[in-house]
Amino acid sequence: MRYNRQIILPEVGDIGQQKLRKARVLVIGAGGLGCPVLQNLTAAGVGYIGVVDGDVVEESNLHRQLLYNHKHIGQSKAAVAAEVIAEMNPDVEIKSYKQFFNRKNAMETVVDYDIIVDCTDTIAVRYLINDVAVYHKIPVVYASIYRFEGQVSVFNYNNGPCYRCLFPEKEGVQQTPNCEVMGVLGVLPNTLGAFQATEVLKIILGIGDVLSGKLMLYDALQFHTQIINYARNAKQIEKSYINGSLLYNQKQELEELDENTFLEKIKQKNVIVLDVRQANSPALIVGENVMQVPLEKLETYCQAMDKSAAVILFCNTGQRSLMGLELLKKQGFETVFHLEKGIQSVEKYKE
Amino acid sequence: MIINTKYFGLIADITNKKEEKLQLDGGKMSVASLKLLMENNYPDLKKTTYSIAVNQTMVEEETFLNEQDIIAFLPPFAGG
Repeated sequence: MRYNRQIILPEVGDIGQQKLRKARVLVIGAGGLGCPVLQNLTAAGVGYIGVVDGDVVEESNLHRQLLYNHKHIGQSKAAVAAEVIAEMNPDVEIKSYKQFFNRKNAMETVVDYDIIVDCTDTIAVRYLINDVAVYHKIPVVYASIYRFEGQVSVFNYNNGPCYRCLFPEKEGVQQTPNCEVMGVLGVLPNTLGAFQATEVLKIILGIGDVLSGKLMLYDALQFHTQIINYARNAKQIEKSYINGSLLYNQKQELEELDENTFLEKIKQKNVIVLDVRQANSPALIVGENVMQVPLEKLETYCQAMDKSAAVILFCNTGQRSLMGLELLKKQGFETVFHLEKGIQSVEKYKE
Repeated sequence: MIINTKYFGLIADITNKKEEKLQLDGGKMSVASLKLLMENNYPDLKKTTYSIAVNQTMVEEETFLNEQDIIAFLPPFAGG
């Protein structure tokens, strides 16, 4: 019953509704644009929605960010947004990321999603979203606002142009001001967020003409809209891809320890070292912070651990420890490392 | 040659107008030369980033302008 009015549209139907239920959408930024995007996608029955925001609700947000009320002031936007939309529609599974989207978490955050909705308020983050999305070939539904004006477009859709094709980065240019500095009429981001949600639904349903290669400009004061066409720029796509792959490799570097970094790191007092080799393996490294937890028992064991703790995993070859690393990250651990080539690569512990 | 320019976002704040008609002397003019001319008229433009569309299509700087072209100066917006 809930979706009847959209299912009876021949362009949607039961099949369309199933597509919505299976879709996974990441909304980056739960502010002026993010709120209406989240509300509309939730109401439409998008099955899995991620919401990223490291900010807290402030009183000056309330005139435009309609998921929040005065009782939420001071609370995490991602947490409150997730709670409010979960109540709107229990069919929808929601994951909240109470952190700003940054170079450290970008790669691992986006990989789970089919579509990214860029609702951020900083140009640098928009380039970051672009680069990881180009690298993973994930379409991005973009909007941004300035006083009474707004822009909407869709990037990386069916090999279409990306954000850098539209706005190549110019070094040494002052920060483009955001709403905090310039002011904004509360209704404006709600209009633009509704446009973004529309494009997301069209992409999922595969209907209509998606705003790929087209920038829609909206001027609320003049009630004027127009569409600007733009083309794919091979150099800019390449630049995005290279930036994305650098981030990807940086992530590998951070998590995968070589022999020396491993020996250095396990000496630190604030890290927990887990030996995930098979049960009954003879203890190799002895220390207060070293525990023998066979991989098979890791999931149960880690429930009792502090998820903000730094954890280093090792095994014989690096394979079990890599699986352990993925497991811990899924469980919400933020700082996990593993010995890339296993303890057999460490001269000191060679049998 | 007469062209029509349109300004958006921060660019309109710098030029203090939404649009204007420009009379360009001399022969052919490229988008790059127009940018130089505009940045001369409005020095604050040098501090910003913007893309240029001619007749509703984004163009490269080498593109030449024609009589009655509509030139849009489009900055990226940050706000969200």
